[in-house]
Amino acid sequence: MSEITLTHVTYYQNHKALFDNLNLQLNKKKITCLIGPNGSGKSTLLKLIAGLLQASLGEITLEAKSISAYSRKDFAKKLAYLPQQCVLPNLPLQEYVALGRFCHQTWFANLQEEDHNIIHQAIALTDLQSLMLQPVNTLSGGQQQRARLALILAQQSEYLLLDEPLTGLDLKQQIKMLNLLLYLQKHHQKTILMTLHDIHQAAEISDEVIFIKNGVILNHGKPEEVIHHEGLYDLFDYHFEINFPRNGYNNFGHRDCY
Amino acid sequence: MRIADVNVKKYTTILSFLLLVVFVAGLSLGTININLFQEIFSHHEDMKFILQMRIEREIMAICCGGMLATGSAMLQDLTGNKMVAPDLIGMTSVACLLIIICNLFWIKSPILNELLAITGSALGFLACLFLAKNNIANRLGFVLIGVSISFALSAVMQLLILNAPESMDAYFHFMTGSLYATQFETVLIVISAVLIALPVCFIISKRFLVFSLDSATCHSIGVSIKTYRISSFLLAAFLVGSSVVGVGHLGFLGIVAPNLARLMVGNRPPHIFILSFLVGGLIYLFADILGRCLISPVEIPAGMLTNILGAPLFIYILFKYYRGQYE
Repeated sequence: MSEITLTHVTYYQNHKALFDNLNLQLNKKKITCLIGPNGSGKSTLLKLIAGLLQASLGEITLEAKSISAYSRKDFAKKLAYLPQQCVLPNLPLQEYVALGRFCHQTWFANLQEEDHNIIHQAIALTDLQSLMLQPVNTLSGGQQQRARLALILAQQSEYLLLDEPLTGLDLKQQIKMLNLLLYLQKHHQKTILMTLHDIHQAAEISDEVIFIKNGVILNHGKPEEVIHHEGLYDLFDYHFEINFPRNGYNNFGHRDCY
Repeated sequence: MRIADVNVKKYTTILSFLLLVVFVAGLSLGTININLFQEIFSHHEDMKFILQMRIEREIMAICCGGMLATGSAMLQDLTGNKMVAPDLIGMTSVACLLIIICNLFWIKSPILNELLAITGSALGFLACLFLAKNNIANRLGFVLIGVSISFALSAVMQLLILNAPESMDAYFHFMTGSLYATQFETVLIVISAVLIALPVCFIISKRFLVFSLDSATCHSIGVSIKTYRISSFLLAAFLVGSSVVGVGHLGFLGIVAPNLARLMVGNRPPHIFILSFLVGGLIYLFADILGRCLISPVEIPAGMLTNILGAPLFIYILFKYYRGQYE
């Protein structure tokens, strides 16, 4: 069942091994959250899986095929990656999101009717219909974040790697975004791996949680098994007052938030 | 989106029409004014000869000016720097220098010239990139390094031409970008270069929006950005090189035409290339005709006129840069 597999992955950052002999298996059609303190290697792990960084040793496979064996376009059809930060160009939202269809296009064809439908759907899912013609670099922080998500949704890949998708969103938009991710997982069979900072949100939304610290995986399992006082102390060296779960584990979608 | 598309159509039509008008007018204007309506039906050999020369020259002007402008627009999008132009970053100087050296010391062949010019313009850009230590984010620094390369090589070129055993007339146009030394073979080469490069350019241009994205996003949507950069750079070098074969070191047109096109429709890569071609061709054609007529029978090289027209615009862009209105 594990569709993304990391075997014996070693990665050096500044001549120091950030990951040493890392093994990890991620299951299909699940939401997995990476949790850990700053600088623990969460983003680097996502970049390694997305192919932005090359592992020094070891192998990363996606659906039983090494990620380096995919062509760029084929890989983009399978897996989309949302970087933590980026500068958005001076393009109308519609054209910006249309760039997500790149991996489905050939050299000579223009965008088809179907492509336009997918683009509109992606914009509708991220709740940006009213800003269709506005240049993306003039949008607010939260809107930019959603525009970037719309871009990778237009890509229609099964696997989504999201690096802090909730940064810069207001409370309502955070909940909407989490609901959207849940909806995508339930109805579009997406596999989602993301980094989150809010333990409560992670507990409520995720099927699996990975605790990562200094490039070492401390814990990997169902949130109800993994998230507890001692585990969090190991991870952050800090005693938290925790009170789980607010709405029950994996119970996010049932909450009325509109 | 639709409004901009309408604008593109409008400007394309207007510019094409203007180009046609100037082309026809240019046929009849010059040291000897020809009444076209009379001469078409007469069989005057001298007039036919003059007409043929003018047609060659004007086609050359449109093709070379257009290619230079399109290549320049492409480079500007590639580097994200609207101050970049082939003559400012040393591309045309290296190309001219290679051609002159080859012609002086080895053989003269238009096809070899074409190859040399393409290699030269590619080398010029790479040299500039190398001296700028790959830092194209420092826009002004990049252009300044290019300008210094350009000046240094121009000096070498002048030295070579002054000491050339043959008359310097044959090479003078490489330094100023004038059209009076147009040869038939060169015209053929330039026309075929346009026919090859433009379709490729329009296919590639659809994808040029990806250069406005950052590298992580590019990677995510499945663009192998390196391949894209290299292929569009080679295409730009081809366009610039082919125009150098025809007209030599042509000043400031490369910066004027794309920026004028941007003023018309905004920064929209696929359309900018078409409009740049038309604007570049039109300005250069106009400059050539003006140079021919102003103080005839003496000719002012068209390159000098484009310099006069272009320098103020360059200064305007620099002002914008310093005021921080430059994106």
